[in-house]
Amino acid sequence: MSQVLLVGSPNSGKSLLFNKLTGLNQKVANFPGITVGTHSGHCRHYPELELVDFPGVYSMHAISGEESIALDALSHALNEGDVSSVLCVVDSTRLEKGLVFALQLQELCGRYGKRLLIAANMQDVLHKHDLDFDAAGLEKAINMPVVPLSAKTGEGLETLEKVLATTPGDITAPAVASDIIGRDENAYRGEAEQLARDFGPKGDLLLKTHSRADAFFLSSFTGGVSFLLIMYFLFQSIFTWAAPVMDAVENSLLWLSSLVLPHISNSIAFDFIDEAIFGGLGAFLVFVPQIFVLTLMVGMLEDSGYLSRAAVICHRPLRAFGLTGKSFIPMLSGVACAIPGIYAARTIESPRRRWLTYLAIPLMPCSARLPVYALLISAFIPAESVLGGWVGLQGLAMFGVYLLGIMAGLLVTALVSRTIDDHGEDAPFVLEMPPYRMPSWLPLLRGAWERSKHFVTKAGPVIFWVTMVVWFLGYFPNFGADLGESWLGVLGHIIEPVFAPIGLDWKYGVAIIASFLAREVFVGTLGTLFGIEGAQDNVISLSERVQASGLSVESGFALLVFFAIAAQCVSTLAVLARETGSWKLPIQMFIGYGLFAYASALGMYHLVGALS
Amino acid sequence: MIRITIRIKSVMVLPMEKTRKDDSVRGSLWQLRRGESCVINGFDEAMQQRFKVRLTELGFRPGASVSCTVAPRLGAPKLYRVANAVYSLEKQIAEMVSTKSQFT
Ligand SMILES: Nc1nc2c(ncn2[C@@H]2O[C@H](COP(=O)(O)OP(=O)(O)OP(=O)(O)O)[C@@H](O)[C@H]2O)c(=O)[nH]1
Repeated sequence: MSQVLLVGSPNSGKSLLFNKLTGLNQKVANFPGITVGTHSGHCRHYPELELVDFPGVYSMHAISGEESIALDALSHALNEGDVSSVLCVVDSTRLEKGLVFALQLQELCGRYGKRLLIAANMQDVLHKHDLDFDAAGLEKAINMPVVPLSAKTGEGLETLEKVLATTPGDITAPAVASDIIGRDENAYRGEAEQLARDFGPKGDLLLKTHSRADAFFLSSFTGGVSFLLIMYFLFQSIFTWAAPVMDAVENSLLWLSSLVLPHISNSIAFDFIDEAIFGGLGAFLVFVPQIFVLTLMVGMLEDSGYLSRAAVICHRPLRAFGLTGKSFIPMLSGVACAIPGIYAARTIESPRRRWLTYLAIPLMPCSARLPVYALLISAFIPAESVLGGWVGLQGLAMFGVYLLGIMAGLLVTALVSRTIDDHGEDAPFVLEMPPYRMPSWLPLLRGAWERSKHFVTKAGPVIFWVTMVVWFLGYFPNFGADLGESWLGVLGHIIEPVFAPIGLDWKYGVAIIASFLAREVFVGTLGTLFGIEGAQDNVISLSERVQASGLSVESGFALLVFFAIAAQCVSTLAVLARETGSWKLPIQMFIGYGLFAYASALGMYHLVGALS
Repeated sequence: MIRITIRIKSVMVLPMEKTRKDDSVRGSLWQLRRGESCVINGFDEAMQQRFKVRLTELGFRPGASVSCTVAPRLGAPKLYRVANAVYSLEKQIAEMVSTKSQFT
């Protein structure tokens, strides 16, 4: 077994190449710095080769936390691992950019006596524009193998695999010219530019359409309007596109329960399967299609190149809140899930702004909040459209509650950034603009599928156990005859005073307490509780049960606000502790956001009460 | 035939190839307006060494020609093209890059 280390500058196509070579599904995105952490997999045709994908770095001189992590990991692997080769992926359309790093790597690999190869990616783009690339010339000039290829079309991959599979001894090790050692960045860049001029594609690759698109997407008027429209469309799509699939999931569950339940004679087992499995776990599964659509849409925006432009648009406004345009991507990833958002924040060079971004991420409306929002919105907001059918009220409410989370995040960072000193560790905003590309649908669909699967497999067991415990405590000792008299009822009444000021009875209190494990548990818990209570009813949806439970509109809104703010996810807090190296921030967040959530919910309860 | 015409049309010509050079204009990268190009002179003393290194590696180094492809209003970061790549730089850093020989 030998390792091949895959490195290269951000957005050179490393992830796509890695996926093609290993058959794994790593997320591919058209935004510099999306690969976080290293991933490894075996080469499909030469399983004895293990490929390790590293986060993209521009040079050996790290300026962000992520780059330092990548470079440390690289040195570590070169030192300890059984490395046969280092494969540096460069974007042939921007050759000089990738070659700066490749030349620096040549020095490093020379020191460790490792073979370095260049994968000259994006050849398909060059072919499309009839541009030539002199791989043989470059190979000779820099004295290392250069394989022209396209990770997209698969061209050149076979050759690459063959070269990788040959033992380095078969190939003359790169002789490091003595003048390479001790060179400065200016010399590296100068040589890279010269090499790109001599062997790279001749001609201007910057397409006019790209600049035109940039002028459109970045102008203060059309850029601002399109930004808002794109974000609005994103949230509408969560409802409108996912709705038919959600109905299908719900109907299949109903069909399945009607198939299974008649065969169960034991009444306790019947109640358990009906209430805990179909009521609790099923209530959560219904929302998975929305997570799929959301991941797909965010992935599409990333892949198209738009997200980098959105970061530019957001930079000035975000600065006012103590953040940077680079906080936009972690925050938007946080809309899917806070955990990838926290990892993505590594690309922010300034430690202070990264820390402020951490504060904002848990307030981003993550997909675990989605089931809770969707449940409450469908219970309280009519499924009607206004303005000629263009604006769905439920979608609008969703947009509103999403906006609330975002505003709360910005408010916190604005306040904190004004009270905490900058110790001169700020870093300027410099961001590469990738070309606009047609999103590659297959990896995107696969990515959304993987994320949904991950969500189900990760959250599923937690929900299952919580549902079991809740059902058990709610069903006994009186076999579901009276929920209020059950063990859970007794416990619930003890905590009821905490939630009474926002008009919530003990059942909601229990569901909220359970949701501190993971937010989506709220829906499963409620599903189980109402399942036990309403066992005699015909099967009705959970949102109808919430409506029928006598929950007032003001309490519904207060609950929405509570869930928008509280830091209820154990995994997020654990990842934050790992990233920041201590539990200080997660604990502060948990307490601070808990109190903030409760106070805001109380405020909302009284505000809606006064208005209605 | 038609394909060729489209291809030629869609390729942007570097503004500096067809325009006038003015060696007397000295300023900062931030002063560049959309469509204008310049040659980089150096970095402000106050800029931290690690950022000088990074900008140099990205191609913003003394003697390099850079053009501004988009300059949004309201102080948003501007887009600069250097060789075949485009980077967005905010005011604080672009102001610290001094330029000479502006092309308009
Ligand atoms: N046309 C074309 N596009 C490609 C090719 N390889 C990658 N891409 C696209 O380039 C973009 C960046 O690809 P990634 O694989 O995410 O790049 P990366 O180097 O891993 O980037 P980081 O995660 O930032 O390090 C994506 O939109 C890919 O679809 C290629 O050979 N041809």
